[in-house]
Amino acid sequence: MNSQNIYLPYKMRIEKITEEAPMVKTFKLAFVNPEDESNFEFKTGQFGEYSVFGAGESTFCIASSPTHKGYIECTFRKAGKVTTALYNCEEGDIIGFRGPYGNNFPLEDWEGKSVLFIAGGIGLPPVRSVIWNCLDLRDKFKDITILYGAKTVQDLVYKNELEEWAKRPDVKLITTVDPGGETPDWKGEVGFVPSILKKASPKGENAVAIVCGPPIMIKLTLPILLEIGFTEESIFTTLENRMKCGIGQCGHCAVGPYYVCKDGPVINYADLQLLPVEY
Amino acid sequence: MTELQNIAKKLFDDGSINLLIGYSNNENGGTSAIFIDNSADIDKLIYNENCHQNLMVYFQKPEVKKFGKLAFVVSLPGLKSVLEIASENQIKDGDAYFIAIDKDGNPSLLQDFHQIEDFITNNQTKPPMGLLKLMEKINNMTREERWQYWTDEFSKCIKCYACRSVCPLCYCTQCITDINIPQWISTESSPIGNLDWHIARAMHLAGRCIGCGECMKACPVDIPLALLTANLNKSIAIHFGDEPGMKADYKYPLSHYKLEDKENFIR
Amino acid sequence: MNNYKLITKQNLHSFFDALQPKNTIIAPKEINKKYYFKPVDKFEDIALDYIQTVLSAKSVLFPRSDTLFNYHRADGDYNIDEPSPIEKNTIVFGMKPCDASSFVYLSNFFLKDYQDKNIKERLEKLYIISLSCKEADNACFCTSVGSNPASTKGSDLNLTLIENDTYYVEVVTEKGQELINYSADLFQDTKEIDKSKYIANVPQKFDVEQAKQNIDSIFESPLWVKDSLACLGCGICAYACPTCTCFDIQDIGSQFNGSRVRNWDSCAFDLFTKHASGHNPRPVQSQRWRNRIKHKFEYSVENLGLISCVGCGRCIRSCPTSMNIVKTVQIFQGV
Repeated sequence: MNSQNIYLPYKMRIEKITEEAPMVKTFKLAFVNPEDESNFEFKTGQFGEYSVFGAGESTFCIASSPTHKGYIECTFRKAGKVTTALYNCEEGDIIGFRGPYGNNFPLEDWEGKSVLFIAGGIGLPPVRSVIWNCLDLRDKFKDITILYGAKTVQDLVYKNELEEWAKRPDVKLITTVDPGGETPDWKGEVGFVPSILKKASPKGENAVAIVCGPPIMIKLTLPILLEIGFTEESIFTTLENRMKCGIGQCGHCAVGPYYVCKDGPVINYADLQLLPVEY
Repeated sequence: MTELQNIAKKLFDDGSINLLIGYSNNENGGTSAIFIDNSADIDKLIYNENCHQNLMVYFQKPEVKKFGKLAFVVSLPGLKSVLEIASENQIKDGDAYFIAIDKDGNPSLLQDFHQIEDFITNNQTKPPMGLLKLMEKINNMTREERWQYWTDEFSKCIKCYACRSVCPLCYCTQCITDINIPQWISTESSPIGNLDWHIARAMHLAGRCIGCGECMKACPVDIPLALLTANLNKSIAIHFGDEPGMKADYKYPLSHYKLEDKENFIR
Repeated sequence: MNNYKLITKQNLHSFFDALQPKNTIIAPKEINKKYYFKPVDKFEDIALDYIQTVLSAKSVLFPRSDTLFNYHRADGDYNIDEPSPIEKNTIVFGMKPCDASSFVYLSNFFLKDYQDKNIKERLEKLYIISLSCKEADNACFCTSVGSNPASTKGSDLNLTLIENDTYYVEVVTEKGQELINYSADLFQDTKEIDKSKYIANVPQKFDVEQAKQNIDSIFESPLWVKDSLACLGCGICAYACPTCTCFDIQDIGSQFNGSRVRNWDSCAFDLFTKHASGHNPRPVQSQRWRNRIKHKFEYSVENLGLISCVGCGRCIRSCPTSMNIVKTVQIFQGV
């Protein structure tokens, strides 16, 4: 008779807060109830509804990798009502989390292939989950290349991890900032992501690309990926429409008959082109 | 061809306009707005006593603006809206043509705000009796009864915001209801949440409402919304002697001061 | 399980009186010449000869504002409680067949992938007594969307007034029989009859299969703009609609005490799709109108196998600018 209330969030304790960039924070969240933790499973690319009681819910990806058990992480920029309330939270506070929702990156299909990650600004968090997932299963993939750009050096998120990836011999990391965004001691590239991609031109054969960032970056990056040999089926992105329920009911994220929350958010470029441009 | 259609046709023929917004009969035995973008459709243009929608609401609609030069079929309330939005710098003299319908139903082309002001002065009508009676009844209630009356009325509201959408003076690109930092207007439909909205709406229209009554006609649950703004207008008229929609250079009393204002805190 | 009975109007009154003490009864009531579903406790308060209510009865299942849970802060933690979504069994008495069929859509929609608890518990306690239409108006178009003024789809009991004072009763479901059992002796058994001569004539205005195909194939067309210039983007059509299900989730209250609430929302609103960045996937009204039409006749067919329009005509009657879904469908059908 009494079915589960799908809107009841898990209670999560904020274990650690990292200030990533201006207005951007990462929360490390642990389940308050141990049984919730043991029942919880997710796959990379999935997202959740994070809530501050009294302010409401906000949608973003799970930024940690499913290979890292016992906690989840999320990274968000202070923008609206809920993210502002989250931004003001302190370590030890309890927030709500519903999820995981949506589909995931098809890592099994990528085995034996090279993986190219391209992220811009606050587009790195969803990609970071996949990066760690791939790195934790490093043997299964060929070359791993990460191209990450932000407006300024200050705007780069996960600075410690960028250093860690840079040191790894099994990862090729290219970081770049927009012209004018560099500091005197900046050692990375200066230029927009699409032109840096063209310069680096990693091989598209037997490879997949994951692209996440501002719409304009995605738009200008796609043609270059096709140029250097990636196929439409091998380019993946994650859509970000306004969402409320996360389960294909509230209607907000619908792009034609496709629900970003249920049928997405992960989609390849071939499928993306079949949708009306309402994202 | 009717006189109205003649005037409209001439505007198209001499290339003055790209789109005319008037009235036509609709499929359900009523009348509704028609958007005519070439003179071939002019025979559908009508005017009769059932044509009530205040078409000036479309002046600010992006997809309508895109057409270019516009003409509107307007009766008294529509023309008052023109002057009111003119006083708020939303429309300039010459931005659009107005085919005015006088109290006998005759059309004439008005081209500038002066002509509109004269037309309004010559075509004044009294507010409908029903509304005046209801206003009197409510004003005669005790404070408690009045509170109860409006609480009951607002409890019916479903927050569809049709009252906002149909109002030619509700043209903010971001309505206060759509702002959530801070959440001025609670989002749920409840007696208190609804009161938030209707007080905000009425106060934003206090001394600006030109009394077309569209909000009330649009309301699916029949809340007599026009009463609130009419009553606020009355207070403003008593205190400041001003009435909206009469002059294009109307100085809105709640946002302007005059040297002769009796309050001295502002000096 | 259809079986057939007769009941006189007088006995219908007694039937109501038998149901009333143990159930919440929602029925059409006249208020200033318009009709609204309201809780009633007297048979006399029910309007039995109305054409359509302004708002649908979907709020019985999916209220305008629906509390999902309450929260209370205590010692740095939160206690959460869930209010019961429905107390007594609820009977909607005298809704029209179009509305009854909307409940088939609603239950499919809300219980398909994720079972919505509030909706599910309300459905379990919901009983529908529909009333076939004697009269229709210009806005009615149930016959164009695969229904008819005496359809029993979605009803537990269906009543058709056959002679001045007698209703022909179809017992459609077990739940219908449960209601009959409250006072079975008020009913008289009969054989199946042809209802068609007792019901309103609702002319068919378009061919639904054709409409689905045409709407399916047209996304970019100047007709969408032309047809929607009058639309001002309010929420009446969606809020009056018995099958519109979109909602928003908001917290009401402080960080200490409050509720998480689900409110109706409408794809006609500019804010509906607007991102926090300001980017809007559907920035203009014609795109929102297109979404509404395509959702009703294309997207919901693709997702649920059902069109999400029952032809009740409420959106047509209540639109302050006379937007007309039938006209739009006809335009795309080239009628």
